[in-house]
Amino acid sequence: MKKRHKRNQTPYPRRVSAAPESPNKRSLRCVGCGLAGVASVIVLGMVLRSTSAKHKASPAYVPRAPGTVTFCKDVAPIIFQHCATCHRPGQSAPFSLLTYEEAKKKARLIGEVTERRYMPPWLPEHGYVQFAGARWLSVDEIGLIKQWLAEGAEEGNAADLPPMPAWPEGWELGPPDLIVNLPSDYLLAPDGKDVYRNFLLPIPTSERRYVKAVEFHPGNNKIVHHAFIQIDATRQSRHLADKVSPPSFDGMQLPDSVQMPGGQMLGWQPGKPPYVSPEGLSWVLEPNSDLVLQLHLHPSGKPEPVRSSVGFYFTDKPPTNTAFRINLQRYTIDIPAGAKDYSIENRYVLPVDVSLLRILPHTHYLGKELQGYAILPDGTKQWLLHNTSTARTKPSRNGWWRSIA
Amino acid sequence: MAALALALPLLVSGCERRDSTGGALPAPRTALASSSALTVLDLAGHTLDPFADADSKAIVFIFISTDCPISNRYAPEIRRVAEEFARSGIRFWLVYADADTSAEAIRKHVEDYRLPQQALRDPRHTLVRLAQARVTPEGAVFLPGRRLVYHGRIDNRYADLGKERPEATQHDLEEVLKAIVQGKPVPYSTAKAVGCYIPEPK
Repeated sequence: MKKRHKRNQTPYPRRVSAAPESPNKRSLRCVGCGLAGVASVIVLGMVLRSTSAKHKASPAYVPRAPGTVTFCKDVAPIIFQHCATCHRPGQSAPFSLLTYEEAKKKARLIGEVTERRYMPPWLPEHGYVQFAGARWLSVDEIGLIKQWLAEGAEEGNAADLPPMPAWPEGWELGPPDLIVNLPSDYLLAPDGKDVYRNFLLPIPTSERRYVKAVEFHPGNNKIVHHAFIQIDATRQSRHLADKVSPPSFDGMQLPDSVQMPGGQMLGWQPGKPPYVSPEGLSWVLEPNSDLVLQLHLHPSGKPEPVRSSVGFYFTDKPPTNTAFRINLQRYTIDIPAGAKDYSIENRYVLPVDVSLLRILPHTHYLGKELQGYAILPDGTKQWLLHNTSTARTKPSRNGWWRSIA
Repeated sequence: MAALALALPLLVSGCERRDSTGGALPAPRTALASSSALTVLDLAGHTLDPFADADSKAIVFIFISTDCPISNRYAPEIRRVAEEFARSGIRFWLVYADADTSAEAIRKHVEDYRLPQQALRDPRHTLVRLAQARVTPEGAVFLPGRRLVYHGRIDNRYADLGKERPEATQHDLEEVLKAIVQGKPVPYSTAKAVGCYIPEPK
């Protein structure tokens, strides 16, 4: 399979391409399969409202016999698998859901947010693309929670309780080869708007390294909404920080020299496991590079110190292939006043066969629907992503990014 | 049934009012329950009557909790509003209605978040019912005679769970308090608060 590096086509900000889950690789490999010189088109467009795509109907919940649904037997397995990664002590969620008492106390909220599909956070529409690591609750699981709640949220027999999952302590991928920390606490004010803060951290490597993974630790789970991990091989960002408030500065705008390395999408969100590059797709870290860590921080109501860390995992194997990013994005958006249905579209014609590894949808504030798909050489449409503006997918202030990537 | 039993004697006026979206609102209520029916505790564990201050132009209850990020994020705004209107003779109480939250945890929470000082525990939800509170954070404003004139959101920063404005554009609680201070008529109103459900009493 051929791959060709392609630089970003648009100026900064390029955050549109950081992160996500791996879609079904086999089907996505079909994006360019059998091209043999024939053009293929990937279209990743944002549509504010559209009825073009129909959601495949999910089977309805079949209620269990009344009074038989219990926490231990039915609800705990769902919570352990889909919620407790974050809803346990020391993690990002505001409360723990490991015990019956904890879940019972929040039962009404659990029933509401799962029914609305606000939780677990996962915005891609079901039935279009099978993503690796999907946090989607099935209709049956949501129905079980609802029936459990309606029938009094009973505990049931402790013997039915599944074993608690074993979560890794410390670094999820094991001890890193190199850890880069913020040199001191950054203090987030208790009030005000969300803050985008960029931290410039020299990466102490004296020789070229091949990186297969990075793992991010927020250092304060309560306030770090997400992080982007980028590299500046120049001194531009450092000079910018030095001029303002070293080693960091505010804002979403970064110099063009700041790059997500090697076509990677290096980012972090609550609950998202660290990403390990496939064999042959390590990326090159040159000596004397700066790590540019962009944190989206949300005030908590009290002053919050944050000191994040990034762990690097090296490999001796240089890349044998190159990942690259295609940014299908638009910043010149001018929605007429009062318009209820406004769409924008962008596309890219792939000149070669590719495998699609990851996809990152990202809108701010007003995005209501986002479709991504490939038109294959034979004209068929291959869905890559579909987020719609149903009750469950109303965009947050941070758009889609929060949940899929 | 406990909530219903308490609420029934409180109903005074039956005319239905509507909020700005046209939805039916519950009738305004005047709390006539005697103080002996109140099981509100101070942080030392003593019962008290938060309505006892007869000199206040209004008494405001802010229902908050220690583990709700939305409630916590409002701490600076709660402090600002309380400080502003305390000078105008309006009495503020923080109300912690989760029976599992200890007085010690409340003290620490008030200190950590620099909240206004007067905090109450309402483990049996006496005030929750009087104020018709559902979630944290939520405010309730009583005029003398325990007349509930407002309950609901502090402002409109949160439109829904996970759906938040960069900053509020409508300060509902503050507007009600301004009207009271200025001596304007204050008809009963409410606006749905977004936050974390107050857990059932034990």
